[in-house]
Amino acid sequence: MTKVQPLPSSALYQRCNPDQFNFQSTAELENLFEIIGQPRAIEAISFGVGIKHEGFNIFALGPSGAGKRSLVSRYFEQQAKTDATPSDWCYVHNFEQSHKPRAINLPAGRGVEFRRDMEQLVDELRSTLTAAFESDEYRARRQLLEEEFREKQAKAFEEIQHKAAAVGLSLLRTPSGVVFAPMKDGEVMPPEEFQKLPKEERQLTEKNVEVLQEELSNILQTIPTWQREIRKRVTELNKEISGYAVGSLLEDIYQKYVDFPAIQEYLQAVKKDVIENVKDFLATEEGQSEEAEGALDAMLARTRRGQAPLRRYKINLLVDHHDTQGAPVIHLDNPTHQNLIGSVEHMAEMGALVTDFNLIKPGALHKANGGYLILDARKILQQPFSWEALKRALQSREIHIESIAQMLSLITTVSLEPEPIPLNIKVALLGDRQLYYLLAALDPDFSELFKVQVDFDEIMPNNPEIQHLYAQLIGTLARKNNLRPFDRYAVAKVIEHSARLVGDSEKLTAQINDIADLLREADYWASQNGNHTITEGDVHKAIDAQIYRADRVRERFHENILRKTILIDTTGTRVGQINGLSVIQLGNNSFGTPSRITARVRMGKGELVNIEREVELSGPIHSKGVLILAGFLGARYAAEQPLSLSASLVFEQSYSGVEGDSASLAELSALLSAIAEVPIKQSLAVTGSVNQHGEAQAIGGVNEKIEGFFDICKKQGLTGNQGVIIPSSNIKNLMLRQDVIEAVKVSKFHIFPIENVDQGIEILTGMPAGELDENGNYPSETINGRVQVRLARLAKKSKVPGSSEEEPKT
Amino acid sequence: MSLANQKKLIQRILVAVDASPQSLAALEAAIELASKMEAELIGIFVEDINLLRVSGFPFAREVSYITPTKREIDSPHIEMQLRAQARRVEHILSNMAEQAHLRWSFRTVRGHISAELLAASLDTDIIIMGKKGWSSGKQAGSTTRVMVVKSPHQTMVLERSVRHGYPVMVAYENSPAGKKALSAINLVWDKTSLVCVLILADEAEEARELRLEAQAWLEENGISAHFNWLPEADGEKLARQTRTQSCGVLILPADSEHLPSDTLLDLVNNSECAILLVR
Repeated sequence: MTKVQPLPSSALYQRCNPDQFNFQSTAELENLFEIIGQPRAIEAISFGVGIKHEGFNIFALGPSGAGKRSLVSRYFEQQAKTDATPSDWCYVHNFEQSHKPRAINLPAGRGVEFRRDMEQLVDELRSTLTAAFESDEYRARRQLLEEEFREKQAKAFEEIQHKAAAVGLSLLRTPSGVVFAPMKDGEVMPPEEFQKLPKEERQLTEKNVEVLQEELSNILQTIPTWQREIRKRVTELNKEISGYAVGSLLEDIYQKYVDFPAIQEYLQAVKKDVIENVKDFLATEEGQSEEAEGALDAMLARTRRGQAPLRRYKINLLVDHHDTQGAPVIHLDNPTHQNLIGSVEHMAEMGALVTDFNLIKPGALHKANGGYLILDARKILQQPFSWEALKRALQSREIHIESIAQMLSLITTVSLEPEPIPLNIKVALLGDRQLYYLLAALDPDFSELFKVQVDFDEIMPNNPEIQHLYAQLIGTLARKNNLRPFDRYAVAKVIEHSARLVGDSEKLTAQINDIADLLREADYWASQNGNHTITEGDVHKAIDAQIYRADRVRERFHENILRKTILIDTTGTRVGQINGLSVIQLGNNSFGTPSRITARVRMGKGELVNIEREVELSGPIHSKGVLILAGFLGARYAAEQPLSLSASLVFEQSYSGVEGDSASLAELSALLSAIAEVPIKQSLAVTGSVNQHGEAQAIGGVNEKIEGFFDICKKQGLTGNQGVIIPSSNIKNLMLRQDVIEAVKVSKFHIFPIENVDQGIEILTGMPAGELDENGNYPSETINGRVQVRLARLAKKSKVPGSSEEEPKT
Repeated sequence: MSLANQKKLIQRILVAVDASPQSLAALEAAIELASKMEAELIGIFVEDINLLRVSGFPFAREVSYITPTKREIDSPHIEMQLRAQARRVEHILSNMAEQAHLRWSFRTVRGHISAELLAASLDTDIIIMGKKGWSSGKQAGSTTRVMVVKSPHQTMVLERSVRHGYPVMVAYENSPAGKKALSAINLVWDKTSLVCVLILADEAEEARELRLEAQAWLEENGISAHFNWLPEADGEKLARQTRTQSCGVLILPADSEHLPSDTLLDLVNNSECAILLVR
């Protein structure tokens, strides 16, 4: 087996060569208008915008900061410019069913005109009708009718008064009615005097009073009939006068909107309503006539009920596109139900909640109708009822305005059922990948409504072409954020950091927000350092400062190791003990730290006890990794004999869960050391997973892990023997810190890339792993040979009845 | 006579209130005048003795206006109704007077309405009352007729609130009452209304002189006016003139030779505007 050589320092970091850039600073670069590194997303959005069929709405998925919003906005806006401007929409009063306002659409820009025309019409109606009803002719005719009633009434009373007077009686008004009484000398006869009159005279008077009372009752019963008759005739007169005035005023507006049947129909209804409710127009003038005085009370009463009468002739211009070019593109940041679908507001009037069609407010669907709407998927799912409402609208292709409170019977007040408005819209949801897959799995409507998946990658290739574009992007971001320009060394540093962020020297991050934050912070440090152009040092300082701010927990961990609270050896050798490496992710910061893994073996029945698992501190992937070890041991060493071994594996001083299989290589090494009774160098740490064939497999967070162990070694003193064993498939991921690279360069620290466990165990123990000979045996003074012998011995012992003593401890 | 002098003459204003809409209009006018003249307002409610007597007849039945049914009435019932009415009008009067920061008083008396009002008016400078009260029909009520003819002081009768901004008409003649009538313009003129002077004179020459006199006085008081000569004062004609000119207030000399009692009564019966009789 060839000896594994440590990696040269050049393999530990993929430098971005600043000399490849033909600029001194980003100030010289043009702005970048395209999204870089997202060819799949660009093709998908292009398709999604272009296709017009139902259900082809867009879900842009990917990590935050990948440029989803700006890409979708840009494509929508480009397309919207060439699309036709959609119709204006307005709500008008429904004169038949006032709780069901009618929706009318007009070509873009004509809604404002229609509203203005109606306002003007109402103004003209007010003045024309007021003039008509204040005209001498109307007054004369009206007075004639009223006079007729008054005279009729007065005559009736006068007649009865005359009749009463003729028989010595008079009609007197009491606080609550009228009475007849005998008179004498112009005043009511004193009752005692009346009693002195002859009986016949008294009887006659009583009879007269009775007759007159009867007659008066009849007259009083007739008065309401006369009043009704007069009212009817006054109403007819009003209709005659108003009909003439209204007809001539409406004619112009009829002609103007002759091509719009809905408006024609509405104007007919307006005409009929104006004629029937002419008092409302007169009421707005200040009591100029008796008509108006009467109507004023009516108006006040109606206002109290929240129905200012002329509001019903207004036009509620819900969607106005008079200054819209092309189709609208709407971003809705707060997709509450009412912001999305619209709402019917209420006014408090005299303690009651009232509403009318003027209080219908548009939602984003109304504003974006005929165009494009961009929504944040998480936000819309967080808002009660919004998601369901959006789906309903897209499915029915109509916008129904519904009140949640009424839907849930939380309030019981007068509300409206506005006529639904047809919906033609392209919606784009922006969200993370997990949300997309959850929706696809759990919501059966989702796949029908959002058929276009625009998948944004987290990473992009790291090659010279992309690096040039990245430089341009840095320049653009600097300009947009009013930052100082970056010199080319600073640009190179940012690109290198981008690779580090994704933990891959061959890739760069597509999460531009993180890069933008770094640029802003570098600008801050440049200002602190008095630099007019941001330098590599400023970027470096920004990165270090970011790490330092988030580094408290790592420091505590490492401090505990140095103070021997957590036991980690970086020198010496131990049987069945190895330094594993783990990564701890806290918020946006992650760091690596070594963990001691130990293995103990004794005679048994082939059990491999994962102590973490026994106490439920092992995640499923970790448990799987440990079971793979059992598979490896059995297949390699005990294929034809029982595995009479009982082994236990544990992460020492681990008080929280362990997950992932990146320690399986270290665990296997510890196990082999324990079985073979060969000590392991504690100056080394191991990371990597292993399969049943003993092959080392790539793991994540390799940089953090190496740096974590390096930091401990450095603090405890670099001896030149320390290092980390990694799977060779992780070499491409190496983007290590400068101090690690420097230590490697002077052979104070080593990174060993291995292909399999045999290579690893050789480095760890200094003993050859050993290869199988033609007899199926390993050489005796090799790790594999010692393992084989030990297992054979255990197997043999296990066949002896009653043999159960524990094997000597390793 | 200037406004300051008028204020000296009008210090106590009597208003007759019986809770009818017209009496409430009279109250409104009285409040306004009392504010202008800084005068005391005295409200009077008369419990009509005739009504109290009616309840003494065994056959007396009250016929309701609203539901034409007949019900028996008795004295306590009538008295209670009258007391309730009095309380109501006192409440209205007190509210209005206090809002206008007026000195005011209110009293309830029992007796014949005309007699009680005449008696009460002796201590006051002007009486203001509704034209018909609760009487039905078009004509002025009996109380108004008595007050128009017999009241010793100035009397204002009206059937609805005084309309501001509408023309003020005043009848002017060659008599002390005529001069008083002219100067009474200050009581009701609100500086925006037109003023129309009706010259009561038999001869054109006299009319011309009267016009010059009136014009001089009006100009002195900053009032512009137009003039009409009425060689013959006829109640109905005068009433028609008030209607055609949409008159708000008509001021008349009460003891004029040109305006005998019958003419005054005709005028009161046929006019729709407020009439101020000056004595």
